[in-house]
Amino acid sequence: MQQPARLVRGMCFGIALTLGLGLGAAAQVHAFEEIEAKIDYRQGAMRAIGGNMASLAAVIVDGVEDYRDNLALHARFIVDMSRDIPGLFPEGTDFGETNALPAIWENWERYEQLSEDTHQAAVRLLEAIEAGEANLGPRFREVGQSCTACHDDFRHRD
Amino acid sequence: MDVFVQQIIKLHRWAAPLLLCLLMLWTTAAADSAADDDLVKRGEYTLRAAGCVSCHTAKEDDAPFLAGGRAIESPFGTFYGANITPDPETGIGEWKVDDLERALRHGRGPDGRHYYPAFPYTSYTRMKREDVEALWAYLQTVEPVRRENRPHELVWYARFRPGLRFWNVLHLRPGEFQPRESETDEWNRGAYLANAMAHCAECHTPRTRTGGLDPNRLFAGQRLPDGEVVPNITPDRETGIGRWSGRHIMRYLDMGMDPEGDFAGSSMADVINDGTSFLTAEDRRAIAVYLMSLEPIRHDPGNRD
Repeated sequence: MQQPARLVRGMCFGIALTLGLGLGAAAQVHAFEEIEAKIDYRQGAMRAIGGNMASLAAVIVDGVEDYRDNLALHARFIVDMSRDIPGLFPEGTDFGETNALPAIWENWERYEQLSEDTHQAAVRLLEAIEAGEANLGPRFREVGQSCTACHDDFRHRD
Repeated sequence: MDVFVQQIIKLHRWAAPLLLCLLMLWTTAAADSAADDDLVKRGEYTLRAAGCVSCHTAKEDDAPFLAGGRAIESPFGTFYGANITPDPETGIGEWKVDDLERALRHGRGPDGRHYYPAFPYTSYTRMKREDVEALWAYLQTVEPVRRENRPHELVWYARFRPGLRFWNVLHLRPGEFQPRESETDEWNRGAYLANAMAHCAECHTPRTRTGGLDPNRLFAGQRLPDGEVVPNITPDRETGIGRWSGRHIMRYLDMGMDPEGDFAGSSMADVINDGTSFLTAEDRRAIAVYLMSLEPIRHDPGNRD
């Protein structure tokens, strides 16, 4: 009589173990996909900043006057998006198809400082646009230099 | 009274030529000084155009200008840029202009020692003598900094400097840049800047097994030992910069922004910040004209296959 009971207990344990392992693996896959999605979001946001910079350059550097009224729109996006750049780089998002260097997490304070520099440079550009300043080149260049300063140490070229 | 007048007249006779001589001397000295200033200015421009600062100034924020120490990674180990300030003991204070020319043109030190080609003398050998002299004049004005050169950290088989004699036989073709008569002045200026000065090909060209530039893939990009990809800058539309216009190239060399609004980082950021951003718009345009005239080469340096 004891043998069937032991068998049932064994089967129950096996099923529980299988389910547990399966759920754990599923959770891990989910976590992995979530991190990948975060990297996708970051890369999309960075490309969007780049796209807005390209549009700003066409007007400010190359003098396409037709779109001068859109300058504030582009600059405001960069101001808003750069408000918390470190927030786009949570721990654990340093693998796979990313050019983010480990140096970001190793020198977090410097990374935060450079991100803040970009935000402040974008704020100054937006202020200059809203004040109707004619020569926006130096302000635009400041934003660009802040991007380069960060990419110089924290982005892999691939 | 007559004697006094006669003496005055005598003095007057001497004074006029004397004054004239003094005036000529002063004018000549002033002209020399202006010429020296122009030469120094040209030398500073040459320093920027030739990309000297990126390798000869350490990476730290407060690093002394041109006092060396920048690490340059390579498959053979790590090279460190040398101190080129006029400090007599640790820099090039004891050099003469001909020593600088020999270093740039032949990759040899004043004592005859071979330099490693991490110092791109295979490109600098195309520099014009007047640019070498201008560079020399400028280097004399730099603040001397006493800072010992850091020894290179190389694999054992790369430490034998006399072996570089054979490397030079394979890969060094000494001689000044020769303009092509069939091309415009702008094209020739761009070719000179890209090849003799900015030495673009040194990074943007795959290397052969012996470490020379692959002549069939000049400017077609490469993957560096640390995995960094140096892009193909030939006008191939798929793998190079064939979709860029001259305006895009000029802007990239000025502020590091590509047509997508992305900004350069890594070693190219240094090349731009320390070098090409100091060039005149005309010179940046000349480089663009030259690069756009290259033969498009289909080569994706990011492809690991």
